[in-house]
Amino acid sequence: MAAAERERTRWARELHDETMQSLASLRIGLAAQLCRASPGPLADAVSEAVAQLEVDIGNLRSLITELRPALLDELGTEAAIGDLADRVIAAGSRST
Amino acid sequence: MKIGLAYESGRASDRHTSEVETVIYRIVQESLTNASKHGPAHRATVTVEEDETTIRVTVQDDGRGFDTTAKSSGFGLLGMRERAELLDGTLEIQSAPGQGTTVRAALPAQRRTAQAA
Repeated sequence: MAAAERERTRWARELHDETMQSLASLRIGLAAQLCRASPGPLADAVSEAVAQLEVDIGNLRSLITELRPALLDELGTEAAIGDLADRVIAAGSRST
Repeated sequence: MKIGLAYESGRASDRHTSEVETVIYRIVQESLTNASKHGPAHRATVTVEEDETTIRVTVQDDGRGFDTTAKSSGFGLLGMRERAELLDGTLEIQSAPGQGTTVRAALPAQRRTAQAA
């Protein structure tokens, strides 16, 4: 069980340090170009890509927190459970 | 779903060991996930009470409930019990169809300083 928890922590870190960073820098790069782009189908496509990346980054962040909440290690159970309750409530209101 | 949260950490200032913190968190996480996904609950209450020796975790919901003797009652629940027992704790689940679900766990406290000493 401790090994499983370590494995989750490892995955959470990997997803955060690799996948999340890469998506975030992609988003920043595209958003910066978008500011300078002249209106047209290309700008629309980039704008759509940026919006999609933001959704994906949000989903990835939830997944990482579910794997291993950083708050639990940093601040302990009370803070982490408070945050968990907020997320469960938010997820519930999204699905109804 | 509404969630009521009561966390009574008593006077102890030292944190629990990481193992204990993880189990407390995972029990609450699993119970709330069950409550929101499977037992469409309107309300859940999470209570954590700690004293010098014991941490008591209770998660109660008003969802559909389930038959705890059914074979299909799930790996999630078995996992919660297994986690509690690995720390010499106990976990019991009270539920019946239409009655909501109550998960109660009791874990022996292990503080970080006590472990280091």
